[in-house]
Amino acid sequence: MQTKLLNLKNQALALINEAENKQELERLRIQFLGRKGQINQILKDLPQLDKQEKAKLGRLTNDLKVAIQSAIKTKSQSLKTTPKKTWFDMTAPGKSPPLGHLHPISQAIEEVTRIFEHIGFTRVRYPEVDWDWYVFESLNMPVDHPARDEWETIFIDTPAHKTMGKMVLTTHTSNGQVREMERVKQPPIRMLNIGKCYRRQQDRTHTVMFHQFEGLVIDKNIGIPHLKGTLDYFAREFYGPQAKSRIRPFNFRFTEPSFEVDFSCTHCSGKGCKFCKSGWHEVGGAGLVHPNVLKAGKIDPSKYSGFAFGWGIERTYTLKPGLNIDDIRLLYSSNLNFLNQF
Amino acid sequence: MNILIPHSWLKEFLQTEASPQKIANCLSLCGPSVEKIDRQNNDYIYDIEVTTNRVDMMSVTGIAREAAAILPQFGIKAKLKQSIYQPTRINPVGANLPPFPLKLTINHQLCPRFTAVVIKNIAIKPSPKKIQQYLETSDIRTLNNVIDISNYLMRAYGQPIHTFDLDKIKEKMILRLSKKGEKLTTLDNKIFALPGNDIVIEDANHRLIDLCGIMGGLNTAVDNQTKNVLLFVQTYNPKHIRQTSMTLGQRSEAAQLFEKSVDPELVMPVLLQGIQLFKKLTNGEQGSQIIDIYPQSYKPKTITTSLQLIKDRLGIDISSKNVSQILNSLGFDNKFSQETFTITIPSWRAKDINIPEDIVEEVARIYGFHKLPSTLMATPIPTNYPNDNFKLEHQIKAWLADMGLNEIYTNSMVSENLAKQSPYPLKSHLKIKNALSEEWQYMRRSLIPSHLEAIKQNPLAKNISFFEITNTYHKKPNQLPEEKLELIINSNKSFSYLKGIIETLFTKLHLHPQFKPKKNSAEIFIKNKPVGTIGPTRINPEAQIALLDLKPILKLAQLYPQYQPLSSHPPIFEDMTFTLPTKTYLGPVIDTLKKSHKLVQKVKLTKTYQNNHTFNITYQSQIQPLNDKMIAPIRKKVAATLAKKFRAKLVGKL
Repeated sequence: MQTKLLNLKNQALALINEAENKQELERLRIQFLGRKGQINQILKDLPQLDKQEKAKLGRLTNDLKVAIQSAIKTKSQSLKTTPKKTWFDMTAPGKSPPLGHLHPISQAIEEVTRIFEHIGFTRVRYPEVDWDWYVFESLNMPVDHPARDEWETIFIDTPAHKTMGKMVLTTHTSNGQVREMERVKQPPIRMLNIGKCYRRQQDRTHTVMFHQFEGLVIDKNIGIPHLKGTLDYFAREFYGPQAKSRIRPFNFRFTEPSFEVDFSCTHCSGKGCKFCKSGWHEVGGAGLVHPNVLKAGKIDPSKYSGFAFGWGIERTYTLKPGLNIDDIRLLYSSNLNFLNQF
Repeated sequence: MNILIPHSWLKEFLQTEASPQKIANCLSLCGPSVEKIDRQNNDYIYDIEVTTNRVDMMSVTGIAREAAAILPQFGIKAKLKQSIYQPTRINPVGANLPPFPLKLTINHQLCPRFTAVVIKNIAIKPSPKKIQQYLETSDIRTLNNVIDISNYLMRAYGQPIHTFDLDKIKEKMILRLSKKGEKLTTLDNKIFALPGNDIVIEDANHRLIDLCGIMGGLNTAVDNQTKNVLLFVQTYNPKHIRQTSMTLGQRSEAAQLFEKSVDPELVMPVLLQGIQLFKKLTNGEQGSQIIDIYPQSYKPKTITTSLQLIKDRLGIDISSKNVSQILNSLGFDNKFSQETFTITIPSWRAKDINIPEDIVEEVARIYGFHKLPSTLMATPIPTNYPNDNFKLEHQIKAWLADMGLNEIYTNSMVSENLAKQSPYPLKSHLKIKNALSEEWQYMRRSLIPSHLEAIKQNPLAKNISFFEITNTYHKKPNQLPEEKLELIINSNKSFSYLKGIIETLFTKLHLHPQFKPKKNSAEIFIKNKPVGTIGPTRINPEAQIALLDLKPILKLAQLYPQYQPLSSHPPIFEDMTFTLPTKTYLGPVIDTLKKSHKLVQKVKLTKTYQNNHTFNITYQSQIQPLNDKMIAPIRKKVAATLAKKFRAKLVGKL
């Protein structure tokens, strides 16, 4: 009887597989599973068997039924159903899930982080309210140095620290440079410091609070080509494969040599247009780390050298081709009509 | 600092065929940045940004000197026509002339070099057309020949000049520091009460006649009747000049030059040029011997730099010959032996060039940064990570945005009004000393007021749900403030909506928060640690706000769950409805239900009608299929537990 059942299973599965339409399938279902179907025919002999055999065959029969039912179901789904002729409008709007938005600054920060993580940079966060020592003095900018004019510094109304100086709002993420040297102690360093910065400036291209990202690389024999390589890599990743970077001479007290960093204009591919300065956009500063800054971070400048760069997230982001934000104050406006576009 | 220089004036000092556009491009790549070229009546005006370390380039000759070094690197012929530093044949002192007429008392700490000479019998009249044009296109006002000579010399050579009406000075000059409150009226008719420690000159009438390095005094100014003048060329202690100029807000071009250390070697050549110009433009004559007080004259300094350092930093195998030639083009005499350069720094770069890295910069920029290779570091990647979990921080933002909330960025600096709306006293806030506006006077301790403002910014929007992850700032004595990373979620929808968001967020983080009632709100606990609050605000009861202390949450969060084996046995679901006494908190009821028996897998509140609450309970076993017989005793136990603990009555019969 066991053999009979197995044969029946094979036969049934083969027939079901070859069935060409639903009517035929239904016929097969009745043939095998129906009240007077073949399975039940075999089971007629069941009462004559002993108890052990009964249980065994019972299970087998059950498996067989399940197998045939599932084969019929699968086959039935694969046979084409004839479409019902009811009219429906596929152009009517769908049902939207609630749609929220990541702020464009978060999007930009995430993108910048990902780009630099790929080449081994470690993201860090340092104080937004910091001592003059980390913001200026350890960066080779003594108190009252004219170079400080570049930074419209905001001061906290509190007594100065004996050794660290005044308490200020960080004007740049460069306060992370010496802090990172102190944290890591021994190069290699590849830091990406992203944070809020503050300056006394508010207009279409400046906000009193803004975000910067700062790269710092320190190791043996780091030179200008490594800085150029890093900037070119960033330009390609952030603005697309055609984008290029360029460095021009500048002066910062904490780097020597110092550079201004430009990215090629994505509107005109560097030819010059109404958006750019003869094909280029000035975005920020860079340079090789000044030996005095390495010393301030207790790193031996005769053994190690490094480069640093830093500039605004807002500026970097608004240069994305086709974005067209011409007033960065909008980013801080909490205006839903603006935010909903991102 | 930006200066305007007309192309025609530049050509007086620079011999080249290069077009203005070409000059601008080359300068920008290797030297000062030319930000703009304007065309003006057959001339081109360069708008040039000069960095603060290069006061030597704040002049037409300075730019010409740079261009003469840079252009040849681009294959363009260029030469400096005349250097102001070349010695002249004019007898500088004028031995056969009368001695200098004024008695002088000079503090050399304040005035490293003091030169002056009398020019007599001048005729005040307009300057020649060409000089007027040079000045006007450089955005300098022309007045008369005497004033124009000062401005011409300053822009041409970068050395500020002053001219006194000699006959208005009484007998002597005492150059000293001012006392606080001393008064002086400057040329432009402004009266100043001096802050003190300003460099001033007093004459025999005890009058202040010059606010040195900033602006001359009105009492000794040249006017239309002036006959004899004192041509006055100095350098001053830059720190004093800067302090006075910043304190008084008088940022004259002279002050901006002096505060950056003008080359003392430039003083005498410019004075001599001045005498020539006075002769030519005013028909005046040198009326005295030149006085030159220069106790510590410039001694050329040398810097040694190894060729290897230059090669390493530039990343190219540059030859010593090439380096030497670049240095020469900048006026840096140099010798090369034993792989090391010994370089003599010219006086005009003495303040700016101090260490071998400065030499690296000079060589690199003149060689051309654009010609250097571009390559990523091949050094080891650091693996010394800080504690912050930026990935999860961003993930939380992404989840919230996916749940339909909008992220905003609000300012950390708040107005007094917003600071007062926070739960903290105004005095406990960090105060900003030099606020740009009333809007930004304090560092905020609470994010709530800013977020309520953000809702107000959108009066037409109905359902607003904002979130932000940012710091609040909390004073600590003699230390930097604590910067506390917080997540705020703010919604004008219902409490249960906001709670649902928070619960979903914690589910994603594989955390199980507890909500303990506190007044109108709830405190949120994780593993018995308070991590935040949720509820309406005092200021705006319409708005629901959740505030979470993010750092402990990030630390406690699980990035993945502990896997529970899947049961091969089907679950049994059933609904139980209980009548609970009024004001029974449902949270503990559900917790109790969940813990009432090990076969209870899930409990969900599905319906509430008055005091009746229906819970959908899922029973499931890992080891066997369940049937009604097995559930019956559990059901009884559940009902008994709830009855005992909450005085709950089961609706219906068991």
